[in-house]
Amino acid sequence: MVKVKNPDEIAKLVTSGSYEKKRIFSITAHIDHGKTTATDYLLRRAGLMRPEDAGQLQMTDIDKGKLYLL
Amino acid sequence: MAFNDPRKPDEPEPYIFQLNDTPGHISFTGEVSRALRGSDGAIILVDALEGIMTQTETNIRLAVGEEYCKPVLFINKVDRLISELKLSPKDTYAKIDKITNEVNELIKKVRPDGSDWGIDFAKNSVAVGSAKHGWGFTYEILKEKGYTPITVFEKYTEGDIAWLRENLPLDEPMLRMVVDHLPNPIEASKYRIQHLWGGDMDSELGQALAKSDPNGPLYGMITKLFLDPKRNYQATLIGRVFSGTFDQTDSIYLLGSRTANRVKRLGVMEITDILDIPKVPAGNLFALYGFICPSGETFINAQDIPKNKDEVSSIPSFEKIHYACKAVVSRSIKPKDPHDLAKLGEVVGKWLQADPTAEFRLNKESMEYILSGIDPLQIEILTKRIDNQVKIEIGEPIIVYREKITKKSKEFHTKSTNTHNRLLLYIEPLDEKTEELLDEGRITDLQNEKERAQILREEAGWETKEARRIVDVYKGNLLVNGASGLQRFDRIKNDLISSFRNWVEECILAKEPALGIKAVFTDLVIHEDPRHTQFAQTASMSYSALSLAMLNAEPHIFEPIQKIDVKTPEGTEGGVNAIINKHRGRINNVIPEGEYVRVQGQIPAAEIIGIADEIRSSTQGRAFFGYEFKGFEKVPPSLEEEVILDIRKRKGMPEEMASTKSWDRFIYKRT
Repeated sequence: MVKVKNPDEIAKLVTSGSYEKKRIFSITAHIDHGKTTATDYLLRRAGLMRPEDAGQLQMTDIDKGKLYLL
Repeated sequence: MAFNDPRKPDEPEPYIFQLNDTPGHISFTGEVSRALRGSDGAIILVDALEGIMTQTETNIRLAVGEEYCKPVLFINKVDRLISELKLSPKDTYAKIDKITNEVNELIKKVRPDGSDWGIDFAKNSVAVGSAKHGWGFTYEILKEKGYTPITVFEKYTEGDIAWLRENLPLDEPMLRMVVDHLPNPIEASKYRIQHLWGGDMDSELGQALAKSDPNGPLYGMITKLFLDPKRNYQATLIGRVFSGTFDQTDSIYLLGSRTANRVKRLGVMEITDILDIPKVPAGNLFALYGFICPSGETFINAQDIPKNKDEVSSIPSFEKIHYACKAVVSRSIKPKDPHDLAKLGEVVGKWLQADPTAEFRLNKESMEYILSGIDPLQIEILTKRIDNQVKIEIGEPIIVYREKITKKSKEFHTKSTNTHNRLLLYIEPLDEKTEELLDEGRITDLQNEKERAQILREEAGWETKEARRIVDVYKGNLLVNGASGLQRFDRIKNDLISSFRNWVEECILAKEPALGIKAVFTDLVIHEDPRHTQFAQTASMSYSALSLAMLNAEPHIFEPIQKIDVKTPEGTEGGVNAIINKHRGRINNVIPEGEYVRVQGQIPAAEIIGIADEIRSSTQGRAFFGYEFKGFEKVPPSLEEEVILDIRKRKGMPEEMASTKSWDRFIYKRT
């Protein structure tokens, strides 16, 4: 298993010449259709958010200091 | 974000996703457009209960139509169909089908040329689920696990959310849709660049961009800027490298503001922090600190600037992004402590670089800043952010009108205050096509003359000679040199442009901006002694010629109109219609959609403040409501004078209609 949260690993992936597995995209929605909640689950899967926080806290809560990284 | 392969978790090389964050509210549609410019694909998210709403349509148009982002669909809040609408399994899935078909129709509308960009549940480019409860699936996932849609339905009605979350976790369908259906940067660049970039595809740069080549010349774009309160409002810039490799030691040159800038830190954004990466190759997003610039800027390596200055303006930048809106509402702001005026200017300037759809200017008489934006919410959010840094007093929201003309004026001959200089000028309305080109930002004051003339000739039928003699392009208006053999023109050219711009900014009916005007000067006599041609002298000549011509060209005041789209429970549409009609609105469409009725129409922006409350109370809060800027329309004749006098009163102008008497004395009479 790859340690996906490892900063060196991310840096290596960004600078590598391999693009096959790279995706750059947006998530768009009408207001309140649930974009942030859905995005949280991707963050959780990537290990950037505590599982119990996904769908509960939103990225906007960063400002209020409620979001903790694992 | 990095992920292991969803099907082969042991593969050593993980997937890496870079996500451009987009806000949902129309107030930030500028941000949405720029985020999409930096993206290759888009997950379109739709609430199953509300269905397609105004912003969904706008987003599909922007993402698929304008920015060539390949779409996949996630239908969210499916649980609400079951728990709130009490739909049977059959009806639930019929509703999902209906949304899928509608999304496909919208895609087809903007991308008709036989593309395979449609979405299809059977092909796993559509997922359904509930983000709130953390579950979702595609067709393939259900089949793999041996479930049927009925299984899901039963588990939900039994209230077994835990089972759904455990067996059909939401991240799985999202991950798979992105991996399977959205293109990687190399694939996407092959077709995206030729549509989004204005330059020659056969050039060295064009080829490098089409290949997203890390070894090509550096070329990229700033797509987002945010000011972090925790870092003393230091600006973080987000962008994408489209060609070459961005090195932290590079000095980069911005094509719009024409400045070279140094980078302090370069890397990628990981949630709230920059992860330092000294070299970011093409096909990646980046984040940087070190300078501030308007979001939407194109940049190159400062080393690549041509030696010849004239060539700088011919470096092709990205086609200007088409924002879905205009500044139509304004509020005045001034510092509580008058000493803070300069600081306020600086703070507001910084915020507006983050959101170029808003504008501000200083009213020198009242020493207030006028902040204009696309709707009241945007202005409210901006003023709150500003107030955190400088305490301000905020005025009431005010609608911004436009002053337009309806016919060609005759020529007016005016003289400067000292009578040594003379100007002969007429104005006429711009044709619709030219207005459109200006509106889309395809004709600007920054582009080179040849390129501008070519577009005007080919697309709006201008004559080459006239098209090459445009002196200024300003906020949807043109100043054209229609004279020949002028002497000493260069000496007063900049002053003439400043006068024209001041006049456009605060035109004569009610000091609202002019729009759609072509001003042509056909003769200009300039005194040979520079002491007699200073701005103070010539300004009255230019201003009076423009104003006299304006009054002769049947000027009218135009108001911003919003499209509105209300989805309301069946039986309540009568009340909604009545509210729209009462506010000078018009209903264009009433479409029954099951338990809901969709009412589409238009309404003047001046009437929209407060209308949401009326609709809410008439429908017991069960209606959904969206709006979007449509354009400017003439204020009805019965109201026009009242509107003009109201604005003049508010601005402390004489409470009478504009007349020629203010400028008559500058008319030049041959003796």
